[in-house]
Amino acid sequence: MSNHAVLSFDGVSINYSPSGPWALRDVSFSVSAGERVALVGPSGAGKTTILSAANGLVAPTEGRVRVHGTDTASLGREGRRAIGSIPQGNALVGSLRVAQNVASGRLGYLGPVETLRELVRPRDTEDIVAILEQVGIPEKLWDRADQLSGGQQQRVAIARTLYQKPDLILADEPVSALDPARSDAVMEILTEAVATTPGRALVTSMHDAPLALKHCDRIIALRRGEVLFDAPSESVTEPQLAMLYELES
Amino acid sequence: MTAAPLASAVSTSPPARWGRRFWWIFGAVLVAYSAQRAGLDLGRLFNTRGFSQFSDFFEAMFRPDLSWDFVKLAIGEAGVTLGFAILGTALSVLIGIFGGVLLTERVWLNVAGTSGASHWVWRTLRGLFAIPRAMHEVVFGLVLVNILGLDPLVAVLAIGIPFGAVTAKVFAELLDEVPPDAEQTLRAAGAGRFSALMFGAIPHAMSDILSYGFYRFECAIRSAAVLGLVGAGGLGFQLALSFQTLRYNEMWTLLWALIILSGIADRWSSLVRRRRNAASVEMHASLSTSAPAKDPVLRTSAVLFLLAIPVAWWRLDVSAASLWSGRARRLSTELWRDAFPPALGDDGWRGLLGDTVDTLALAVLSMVLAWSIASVVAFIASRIENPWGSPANIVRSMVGTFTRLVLLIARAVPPPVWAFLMVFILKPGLWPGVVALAIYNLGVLGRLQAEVVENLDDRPGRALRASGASAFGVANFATLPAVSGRFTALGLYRWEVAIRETVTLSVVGAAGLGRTIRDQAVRFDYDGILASIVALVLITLFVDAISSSIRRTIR
Repeated sequence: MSNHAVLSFDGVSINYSPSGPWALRDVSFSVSAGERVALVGPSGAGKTTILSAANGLVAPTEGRVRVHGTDTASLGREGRRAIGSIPQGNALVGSLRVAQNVASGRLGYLGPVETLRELVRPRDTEDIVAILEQVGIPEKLWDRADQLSGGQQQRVAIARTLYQKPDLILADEPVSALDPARSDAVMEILTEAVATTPGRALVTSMHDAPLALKHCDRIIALRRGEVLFDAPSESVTEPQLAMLYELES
Repeated sequence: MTAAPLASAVSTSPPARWGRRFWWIFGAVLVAYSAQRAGLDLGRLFNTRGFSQFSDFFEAMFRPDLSWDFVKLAIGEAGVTLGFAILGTALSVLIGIFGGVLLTERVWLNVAGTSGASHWVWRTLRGLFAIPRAMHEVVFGLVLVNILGLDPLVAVLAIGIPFGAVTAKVFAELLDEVPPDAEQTLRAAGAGRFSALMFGAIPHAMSDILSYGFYRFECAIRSAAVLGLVGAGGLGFQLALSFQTLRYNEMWTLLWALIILSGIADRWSSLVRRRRNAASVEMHASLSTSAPAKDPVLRTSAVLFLLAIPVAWWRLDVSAASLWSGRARRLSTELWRDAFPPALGDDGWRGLLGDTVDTLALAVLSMVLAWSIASVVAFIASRIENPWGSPANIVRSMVGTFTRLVLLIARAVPPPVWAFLMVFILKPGLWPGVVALAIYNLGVLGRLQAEVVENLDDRPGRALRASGASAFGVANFATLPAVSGRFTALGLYRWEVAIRETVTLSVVGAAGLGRTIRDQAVRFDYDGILASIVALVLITLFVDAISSSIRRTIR
């Protein structure tokens, strides 16, 4: 199980328009269960494109993307349940309560008719509260999502993904809107979620080099759509990562 | 505080929202009562003998009178309607800017930011501006025509005054939203309250003020057409003449001219507003955060509009002198003497109350119909990104374009014309008016709601889809919750407008205060008219208060 690839990129190139520049160019890597991978690189390096392709939201122009060995092009609802994504910025439904937003993580398991009933049944609340405790905001259960602070909303988005019970967590800049202390706490939650659940992997994009080195065990550095290096965190130094950003300017 | 762990302290069911429940029940009772008042016997609703007239009218849609003489006439009359709209909007923006400054809360605070007796001046002014806001353009037209005669100024003032009162309220709220720092600094340095506002706040809100002005222009075109129908000239007037002789082909030439004019104004106004929903600005004025400080489209449009003002003034041969002519003064004194004090008609209080309730029922039923249909149609009518991206997208955007055209026709054809048509196929009573107003408001609401759909944040839906949610799941837990609040708010906002619009249906004798006013006008029963207008203003203020209270609860 441990050497089974949860996610694999195989010679993937992507351009969004035929005449436009390559957003990704010949990218290959694979992520095994239990791994925590940080995608680092300046804006426009291709981090979000990798996450979107892993999610099957963007189709590769060349090459193949597979999740659990299945091509993302033929990913059905069942396959999608295994992928939990925490998009950049707030992707909650503001007018719904926190409980409903968290519960919507399980929509992938419900048939069309089942979705017509109330999403949060009384017996679900215990599970939802347990997840909210994991992210540190159980008291917000019945608050409206748009009344929370940015950091709290981010935690709800993470709670929704955890409630989904995915094998692969894709997080796009999960800490970009948070202060240092909160960033550390949120990364802690994400890495815990991988450490405590066998078979799970995390791929996250981030700008904060020290944080990436602290919480992830592998760094994939990107620049202009290409992989610059792909190495275990121990072998990467902070100045090396800082250089990645300087090269651009 | 208990020491129990949080998990057990949190309730397993959401806290009840009593405010919401109350308004749901209130709404249900209101709709049920209105329907009962209008009569629910569907068997006796239709007048089958009128169907041929009805279909004749729509067949003429594709065979408008295109003889050069008539087309020339239509173009000339379209110019008159456009002129009324331009001058009316210009006046409303002028009133709006002065009124907005007077109504902003800030002007009435002292340098330290506290209010005293001046607070009451502010309150009183706000109350005074609410009265013209509650009166429809047609009511102003009716009053002014008795003072000024058949003068183009009647239409300009009839549009400019009520629109100006609405604009003043919106501008004041926009000014209240401007961060106070710059203005306070100026005040602290000794600047007067008006000049501080002039240099410290107005520039900040200017682009929003102007873009709201363009939304008013779009409304003014529709208003100018309605005023024409009741005698002010322009396309509406010709429309009434052609209808009286049942010349449907001529009517459609004029209606197409109106549809084209409306279509251009709507599109222009959307472009200027850059997808900012003007109706939502009106509901809870908030400054745009995304609009660039220097917007070339807005600037060019403003310059073009300024240039159009003198042209319209000259073409319509407007003269402000008639305002203070001896004749106008004498007629207005006479009118006041005849109308004051207001008097009840033969049916007394019961009659007036019955008419008022009919007016309310008319507005409620038409809005429920329009809103329910518009809430579905909005999704079909909304523009999509990348319309040529795939065969499915092409089909989708063609259906969308067609739907938008239907909505444009629904709102460009004035409500009285819809009412005329409904009289063919529906038995007299409330229903012809209900359906007419519903069709017109479907056109307006469909467009405003489609804008909400277009501006929808698609990230929550994408996130759910990516996690394997079905299309149903995405619709039910991302799309609907995101739009429902704004849809409801727009529906309530149009309900406030619809209660004013009921008066335009008076020309076809649809029930309610509008018909009473028309009957009283025929009898020169001026003190009766005043009583009806007072009732209309009161019911409008009542609806405004309920609507804004509901909107606060559902936010």
